[in-house]
Amino acid sequence: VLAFHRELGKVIWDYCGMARTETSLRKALAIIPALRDEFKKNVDVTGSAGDFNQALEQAGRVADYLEFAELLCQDALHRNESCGGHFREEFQTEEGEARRDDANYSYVAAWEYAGAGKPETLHKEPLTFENVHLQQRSYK
Amino acid sequence: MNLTLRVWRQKNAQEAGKLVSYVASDVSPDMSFLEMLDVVNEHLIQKGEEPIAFDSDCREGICGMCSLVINGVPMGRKSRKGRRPASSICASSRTAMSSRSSPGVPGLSLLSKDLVCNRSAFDRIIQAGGFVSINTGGAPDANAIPSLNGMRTGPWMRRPVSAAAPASPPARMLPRCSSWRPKSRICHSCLRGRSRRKTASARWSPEWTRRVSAAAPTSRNVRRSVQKKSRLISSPR
Repeated sequence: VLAFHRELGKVIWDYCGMARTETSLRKALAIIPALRDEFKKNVDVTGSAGDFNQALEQAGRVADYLEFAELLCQDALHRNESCGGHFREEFQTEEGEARRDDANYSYVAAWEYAGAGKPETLHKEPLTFENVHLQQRSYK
Repeated sequence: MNLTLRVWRQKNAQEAGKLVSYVASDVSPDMSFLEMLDVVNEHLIQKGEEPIAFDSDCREGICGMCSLVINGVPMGRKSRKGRRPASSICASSRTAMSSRSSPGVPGLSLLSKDLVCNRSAFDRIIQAGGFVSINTGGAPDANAIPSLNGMRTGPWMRRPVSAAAPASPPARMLPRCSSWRPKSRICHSCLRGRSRRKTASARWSPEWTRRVSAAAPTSRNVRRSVQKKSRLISSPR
């Protein structure tokens, strides 16, 4: 279980970290399902289901991470903008700052699970600012 | 460094438990006890054995979840003040816990597994509205806690020794199910500082349920505080 957890962590850190690109995200999206299949087939969990079993609890959590990691990458790929620490390298200003796309992505996304193997459905909650308006952040 | 551990293993509350020896190899002196247990468990899983079940949550000495008694010391004030060197902690065992778990004693009935205690009694008290009013203060920054005898690490471990030096005595690890009283500001399991206020830990005693009821705002307590206030108001200046 730990080996899968570490491998997944490494994939997310390398390909869906603070700076990610379309290529890296597609790479992660190719690795994660394979890793998940491997987990389902070969994971080794000690103990039994009837007892107090922390290894089983951990396995359940990692199974959850393996599903959520994929969605995380999909959402990152879906947003063609950089937003603060969610930095897509393709979308940056000339000075290397994050370039947001408020016209198209100013919303909170909630993805609905549509069943195994089916793409999740996107629900948007628009972000509207009445008094203080969105602008490019500057640390200068 | 390598450590020998004697760990309480018990499958569940019904079955008998016993101390089992393990060798924790290649332990970094910077690890906390919990991190060291993670490493031991990883090796156990690789060997196909059941890992040691133990409780932990914040891992920085705030939540009080890591219920380990190490060499009979849940928390050791003496080691914090440097009166007792860390090496003697490894050899000592002096609490009621140790005597209860001596060979021949059957399994601990309050145990969930290994080093994990069943704390549902605590949940029931919380559900019933029980509380204690304690100012626990702020936990000191872990890096600000002075080290002992020049050790970079916490009080549970000896100064790192060379391979040729005699092995340190095995660390005995038991679940914290019986009566215990934290005495230090350092959590022995995760090595982080605990409450600064002595009163907070002193109140946390085996009889704490009584104290809970005393602290709860009963009508008698309320009446008393009202009386006190009225005395203050009427007293001449």
